[in-house]
Amino acid sequence: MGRFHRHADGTTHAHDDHEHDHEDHDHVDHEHVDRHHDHDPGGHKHGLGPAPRRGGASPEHPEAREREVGDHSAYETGTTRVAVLTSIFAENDRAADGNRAAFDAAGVVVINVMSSPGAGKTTVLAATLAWCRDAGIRAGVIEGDIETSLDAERLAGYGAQVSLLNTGAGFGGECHLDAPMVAHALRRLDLDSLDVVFVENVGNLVCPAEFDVGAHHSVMVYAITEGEEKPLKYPVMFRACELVLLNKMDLVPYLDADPEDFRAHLARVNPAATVLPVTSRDLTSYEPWFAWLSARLPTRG
Amino acid sequence: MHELSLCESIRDVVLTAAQGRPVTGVTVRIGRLRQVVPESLLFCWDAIRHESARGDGLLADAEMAIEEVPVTLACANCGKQTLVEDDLAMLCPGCFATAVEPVTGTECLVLTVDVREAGADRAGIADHAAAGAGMGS
Ligand SMILES: [Zn+2]
Repeated sequence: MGRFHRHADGTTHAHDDHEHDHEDHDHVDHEHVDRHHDHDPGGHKHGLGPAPRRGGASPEHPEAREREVGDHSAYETGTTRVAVLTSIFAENDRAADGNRAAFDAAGVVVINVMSSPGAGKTTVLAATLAWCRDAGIRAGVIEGDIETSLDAERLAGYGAQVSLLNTGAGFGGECHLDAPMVAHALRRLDLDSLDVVFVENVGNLVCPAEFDVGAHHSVMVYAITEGEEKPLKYPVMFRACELVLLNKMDLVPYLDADPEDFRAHLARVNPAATVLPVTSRDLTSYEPWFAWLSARLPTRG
Repeated sequence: MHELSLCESIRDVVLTAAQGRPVTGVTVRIGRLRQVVPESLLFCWDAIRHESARGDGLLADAEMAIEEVPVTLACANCGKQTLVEDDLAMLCPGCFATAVEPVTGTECLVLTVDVREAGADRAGIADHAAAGAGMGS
């Protein structure tokens, strides 16, 4: 990516030094110069610089877009419309690819764990880490959703490597983990000594699905107490996961929500998803989840 | 806030494209499957502009225009492509099959960035180009 520099004299500029290795690369080199206000026929020479390329009708620059350029006659200088066509997620996706390469090089399987707030994700993760410890599976956690410091202490008690992310530090707080944040957290994990890393994403049913963090699998912890119709309300999130751990199943007798209706709604947005009911009241309920996990972990000799 | 994170990503794309020039306009294309609320996106973009105004000011005048794209689903069962008006369920409105893929509606792009060509900036870039770093052409 271009890097911006600010000089002591206050001028800024970019080095366009990125690699064109991505489909959505920046089209700054196709810059379309469209100067509307050459008030002074002899002006705009500015001596040393190369003359800006005049707007030509190249395929990337349809005439329709040029007409959209507003009237900026209040300014003495012209306005240039730069055709960008860059994915808003381009930078994140590049960082996610980097994370995935680091995980693959270390032979670590990475699971992105998403949920809404209060779905019981930390409880499920704690049980999972205990199982990993007892099974001799070396686990790490990138923890982006600490509600209390007790949560962190709880997870650290299972012999897992835990890397904490302070997601509240951002401008306005964060609603998800993005790939650069996970890249930062990775530096505090010894990937070569791990078999599996769980990325505990921020509890939110919209945002985490949008930001690829470089995980190999995405799993959602969903509490049946949240109702059965949420898949229809948050289809992007429910499409982004391959497995739903349907939590708090022990409360079903006290609810109107029907797990079968949940399955039917989920199938409407993501027919390929697996649903595994779990409850912290009965640790044997986790066994299908542990079997799912085992099947995806690397076999060690 | 989903939209604030998106605006932070948009800001980075816009600043890269603007190459140090002040920005007067930004056009983004967002598919409805992204579940972005346009009013929230504009509200958060205003926060980015205010933040910029307190700093280098490059985005202080950057008006955002949003091009929304409706969801179109392609059905593997009946072969039809259908525009989905309201319900976001991944279900063919024609035959109710779930074997559908979104053809449109997942877009999330910065389309264009309008920049102001000031004499001082032009000279600064020219100096930079003369120093050999180039402008990517
Ligand atoms: Zn159909």
